[in-house]
Amino acid sequence: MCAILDIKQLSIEFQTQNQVIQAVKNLSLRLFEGETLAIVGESGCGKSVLCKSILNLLPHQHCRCSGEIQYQGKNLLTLSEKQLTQIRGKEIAMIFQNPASALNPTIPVGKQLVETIRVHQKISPVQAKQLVFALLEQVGLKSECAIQYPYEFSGGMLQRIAIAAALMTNPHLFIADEPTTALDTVTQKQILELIQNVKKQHGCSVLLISHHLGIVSQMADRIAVMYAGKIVEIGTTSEILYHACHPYTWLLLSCLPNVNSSYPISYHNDMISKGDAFAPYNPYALRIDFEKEPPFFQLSDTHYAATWLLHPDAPKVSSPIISIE
Amino acid sequence: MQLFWTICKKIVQLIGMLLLLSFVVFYISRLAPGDPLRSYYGDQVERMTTEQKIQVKEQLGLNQPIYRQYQIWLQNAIKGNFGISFQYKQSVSVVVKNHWVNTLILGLSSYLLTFLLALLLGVSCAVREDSWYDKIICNIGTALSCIPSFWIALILILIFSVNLSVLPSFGAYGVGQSGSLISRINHLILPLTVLILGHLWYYAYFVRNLFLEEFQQDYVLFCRAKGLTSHQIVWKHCLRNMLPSYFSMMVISIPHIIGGTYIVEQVFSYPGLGKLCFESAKYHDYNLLMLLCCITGFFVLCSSMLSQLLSIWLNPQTRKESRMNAKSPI
Repeated sequence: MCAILDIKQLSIEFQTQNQVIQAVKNLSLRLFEGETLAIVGESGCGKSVLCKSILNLLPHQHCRCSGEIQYQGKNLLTLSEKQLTQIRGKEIAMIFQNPASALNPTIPVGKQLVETIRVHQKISPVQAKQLVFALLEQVGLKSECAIQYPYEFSGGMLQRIAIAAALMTNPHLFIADEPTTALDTVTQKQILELIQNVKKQHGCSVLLISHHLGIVSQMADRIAVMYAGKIVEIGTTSEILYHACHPYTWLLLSCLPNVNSSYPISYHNDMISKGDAFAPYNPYALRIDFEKEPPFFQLSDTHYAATWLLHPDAPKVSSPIISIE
Repeated sequence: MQLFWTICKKIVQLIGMLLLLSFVVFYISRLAPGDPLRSYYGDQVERMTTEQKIQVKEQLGLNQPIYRQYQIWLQNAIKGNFGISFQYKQSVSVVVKNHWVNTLILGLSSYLLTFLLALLLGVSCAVREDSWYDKIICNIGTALSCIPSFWIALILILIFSVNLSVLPSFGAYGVGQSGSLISRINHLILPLTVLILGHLWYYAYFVRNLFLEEFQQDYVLFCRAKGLTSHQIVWKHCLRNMLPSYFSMMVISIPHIIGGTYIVEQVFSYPGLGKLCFESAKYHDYNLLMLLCCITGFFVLCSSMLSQLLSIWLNPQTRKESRMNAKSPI
């Protein structure tokens, strides 16, 4: 399979008044054509920063990116703003976690959709309007919605509109940054189904960001688990769900309601880790975890995990995940 | 319908406030030390006997208690008679009529130019936040806004009128050039520059901050993700969202600009309402002062009312709700 997106050694730093915060550390990732890759991790682990960096949406004044983000032979980090506007929305589309604030509150949604399409395609306003009506119906909304303002919609409807806006130009890559976080459970399911349908119809690759492993496991081909700016485990959905090897992935799995686990949640607050950032929270941490960052250990062609527990000399620890229903 | 009732309520409030303002100004002007007869008779007043002064005061109605004087003034004012000017010896309405156009030209042009330039300057700083350009403009602007307008005026007069002799320093027209457009523009340059320099950064900084706040909004990020250029985001999205605040600011600032215009008129001896206002207060020309205060107060109160109505009208949510309420049969 051909990689549509190849992220190599990406590091992102934010300069604050007192300190430099490293949000993403030497992260490498590949997204293949037509696949859905989910990135899961807790809030603040750098998922959204990673997403925004793909489209170069991070504030340049306070942020420094290094590494490469290769998209169809182009390094997105080195492209000019003009070149990026040709890619944003047209080839790579993105939706955000809070649909209520993602649309301009003073412009009717139809106008915002027409604007999106006319930025990338030279078509008449009438043709654009017809496309908007068709797309609104495709995402399950009536065409009359086009004249309404964002405040007149529910969160789920707004997310549908945001998805419609993102799909207007048939993008090759669709990035959904926690698209269901601000929604109720029923709407969450509808939105995820919509994204799946959209993927089938448009044949695009999907990069799905979430902090909920359960939600993404239903639709992702592969899952990358992220912690403190690094990917700690990556593999196919079944590998992550049933053969997870990293203690942080075990922690995420043990927090799912339908998982029977014996994971002992603990925090060694007296220990400072120079090595693995998760070590102070890791009940299975070895001494080396506090001293040296673990490398990636290959478990299969598709499954990698960064934990010293996989070192041949490490004591054997069995997964605390007893069963997943 | 809701908007209609709001307007009616505001008009009633406006009338009440105007009455209160006229009463306060009337009382304060009468209580201020000084002799109004000096305004009417000039130096002749020193040669007048006490009996003559009492007689003249009786003629002008100045011997009565202040509340009675106010009552008479109010009755006449309602009928459109604002009395005669002690200084100009003619109806105050006529005096104001001869001067208001000059103030309107200066005030309106400075008002429009200040807000237009403030918008452009504010946006240009906001899009280059923390750059050298932004820092330099911010520092120059802050320094300029700390300098009093009259001092800027004096410096400009010194440079352009006294030293370089390229621009006139007083009046609305040159001698014998009354009605000439070029002369009018020439005489407007310095007062306008002072007014714009005095107010520009205050509003530009406001615009800069409004835009910076807008840039933090999620919809801006979504617009960028959709492929819109910075130019499109600023002028089609952010501008639209900050306009209600900007218009409110513009309307609320009318008194600010009027006040500035009055001071500048005085410095440049520009024949407008501001100069009249200063003179009428200085020479105890009560009737003229009352009319000028009422006119100024009317504009100030109207601007505050307009800003409130504007913010209701510019918000699509309240606009749509009021439209729906109007259509509702209940």
